[in-house]
Amino acid sequence: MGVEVFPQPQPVSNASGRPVGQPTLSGAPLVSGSHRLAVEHLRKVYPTGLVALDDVTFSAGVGVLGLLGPNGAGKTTLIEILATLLSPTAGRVFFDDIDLVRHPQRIRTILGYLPQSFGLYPNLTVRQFLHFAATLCGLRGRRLRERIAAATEMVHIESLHSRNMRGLSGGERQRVGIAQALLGDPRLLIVDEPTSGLDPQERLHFRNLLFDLGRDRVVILSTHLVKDVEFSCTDLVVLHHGRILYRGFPPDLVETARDRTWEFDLAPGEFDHVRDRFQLVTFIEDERGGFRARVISDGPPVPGAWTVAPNLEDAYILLVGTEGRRDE
Amino acid sequence: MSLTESTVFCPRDKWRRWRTNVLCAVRASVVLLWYSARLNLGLPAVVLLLAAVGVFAATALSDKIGSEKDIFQILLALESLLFVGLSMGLLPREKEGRTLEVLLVCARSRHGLLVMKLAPVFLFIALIGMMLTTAYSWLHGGFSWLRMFGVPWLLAAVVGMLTVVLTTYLRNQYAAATVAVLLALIAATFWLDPFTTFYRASVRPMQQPPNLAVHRVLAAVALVVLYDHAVRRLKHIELWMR
Repeated sequence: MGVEVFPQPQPVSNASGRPVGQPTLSGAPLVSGSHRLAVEHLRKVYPTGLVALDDVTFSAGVGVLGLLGPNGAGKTTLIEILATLLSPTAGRVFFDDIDLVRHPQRIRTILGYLPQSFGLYPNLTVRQFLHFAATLCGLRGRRLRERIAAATEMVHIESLHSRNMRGLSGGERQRVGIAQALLGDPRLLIVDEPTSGLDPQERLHFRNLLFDLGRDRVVILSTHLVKDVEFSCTDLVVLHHGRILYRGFPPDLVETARDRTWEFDLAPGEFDHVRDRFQLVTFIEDERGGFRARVISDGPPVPGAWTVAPNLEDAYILLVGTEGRRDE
Repeated sequence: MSLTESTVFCPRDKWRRWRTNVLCAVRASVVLLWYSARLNLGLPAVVLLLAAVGVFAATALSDKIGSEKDIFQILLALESLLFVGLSMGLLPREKEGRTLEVLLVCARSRHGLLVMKLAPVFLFIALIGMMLTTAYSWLHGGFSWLRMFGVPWLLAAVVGMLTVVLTTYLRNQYAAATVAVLLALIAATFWLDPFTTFYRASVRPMQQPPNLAVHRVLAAVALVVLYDHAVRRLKHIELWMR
């Protein structure tokens, strides 16, 4: 059986040779490409008094920007503001010098959006739905047919054209969703938790697709799955309680966990003790009933523990866990 | 510059381009109307149409109609209920089906979206109104067809628009429909009898017929104000989405 290989994301370099999103000495990330999204001091307070976003500032260029954070971090609020569905309480958002808050209608002509739970019209076929969505986008005539053909080819749903949307699987639905988001050939593509509910194979396809799409447009991917970011994103923003915890290049975040990621074997019965004392990343049960634990710790958690090469999940746990302890 | 790269357009080219653009726009509007009708009417519309035919059959064939006022009241009540029934789900159904967000981020104005949603309902009820008015006219006659069709349709459209606005305030579309019907009933019972306020009977012997144009204009203004309010609510989606 062949092993599916997906492209490892390579950071896109800008004119100065620095990878996109790598923080400069001043802390301001560099961006490249012909498109640029700039979020400045964004704040969102809901009528209930809940502060969903507080002074969020970042910029992004061509590539895939991952928005990572635990549930309730403010990801969906930020995504909805970027998709012109919500207005911020304060702050500004620009895309290629178009003010999203003041001119939402202008940005909608170059925006593609796949919401968190994408609804479908059950009494339409995929072809009819795409035709309807393309007409809504303002496409007509030959251009409409070309864009539908291009979008369906991009996400490989040619075979689904005559299928009723009621009978689509989760992965097929998401692909139809991304096809409708691509109909207008958007320069800014926003996808909110697109891989939740997908099986591993579909998730892999979707990560590849997002990475490909990020080659010539700004893609914002909101997710709480670290693997999605690790395999698709060239740039990263970590949100926590409505504030930015980290902004930069994913490998740089991984480096923060170097020499602080440990593994060790546990005897049966020691698990609770370790879970309470350390930031536990994973644990695997062995055949003897014991565990191999992977934890984040500044020093050796137990005698005999060894350091391992960190991954993005380790670094994320370290970052969010540290912030969580600070909150307490 | 090659011969094919002409930069001079004769008036005929301009006219052709304008005509092509207009035709494309008309075609796109018809396509949207068709899809909107498929998505928003469907089975409930068939049920309501059958109900309307049933009401007509019950009233027209049972000799219960003695005056113009009876026909007016039947048409008004029937069309109001049809408007409420078909417009109560226009926005909540999109919200519940998670398709509203996709509609709201498309490159179409809020006016365009709302008109797209409302047009099939307004046209469908207008068709039913025309059908029933024509049938009553054949059976009973003696009234102005246009007035008997137009005034109940306009007043019912106000109630329907009120329902759409209420669905953006209340969490439940059924609550919105109930409140809209109650408000219409209260208004008709305590302040204005729609027949005497908006409709002029065809025959009023020994009496100067009243001029009710202002009242009808006010009803049209109410429709426009409610429509405008619905568009404003669509622009501030967070006020009713969360």
